[in-house]
Amino acid sequence: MRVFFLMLAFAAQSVTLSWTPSVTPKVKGQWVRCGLTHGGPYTRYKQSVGAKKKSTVLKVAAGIPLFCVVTAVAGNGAESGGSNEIAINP
Amino acid sequence: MKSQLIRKLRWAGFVPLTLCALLVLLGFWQGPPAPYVVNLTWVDSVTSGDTGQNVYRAPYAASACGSYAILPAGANIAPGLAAFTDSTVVDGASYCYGVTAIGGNGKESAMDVNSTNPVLIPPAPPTGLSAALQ
Repeated sequence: MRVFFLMLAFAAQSVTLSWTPSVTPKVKGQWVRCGLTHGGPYTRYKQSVGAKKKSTVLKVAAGIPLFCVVTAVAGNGAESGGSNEIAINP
Repeated sequence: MKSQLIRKLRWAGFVPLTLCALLVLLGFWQGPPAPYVVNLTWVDSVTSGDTGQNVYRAPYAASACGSYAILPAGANIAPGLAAFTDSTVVDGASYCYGVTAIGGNGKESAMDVNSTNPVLIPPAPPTGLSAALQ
């Protein structure tokens, strides 16, 4: 939630995230999770539209480093662990 | 001369065999192996004369467990052991598990199941995340 309000307050820059979707066939969605510290914890920031989407654009606050991962959600509702973490320094 | 010919023949056989092996590997490649396992534990009510236990698994869908089938690696577990690891789960699937005891007469007990608490296997995580500032 803290991350979300920071985004709203200082949204100034766009970042394109790209990734390779999960290889699991029964994926119904994906989450972009971001946090303010390396290694998490991460807050759900943005749900991608499609299960196989490969990129999305984030609005981020200038000057505030952000750490993000992408997760996949199966048809049974279970969420995967995070992808590799990336650091965003807008 | 003879040894050179043998070497050539060996090489001629090696290349197509290697290519065939690679094609077979690519043909059967299904992505990385499932990273998940399910660790089961239960309370073993050991009765004198018990000879083993069996672990069963059923697919879970539409809020119900399907047909149970014995797990090959979970067949005839020694009495007294009360744990089993299922390493044959599929990413994104849901399962119910059951355990039975085998008596000294060879008969199986009723199955103790976890049908109210199915195991939901997550999908494999996405990979290769990168970011580009615009």
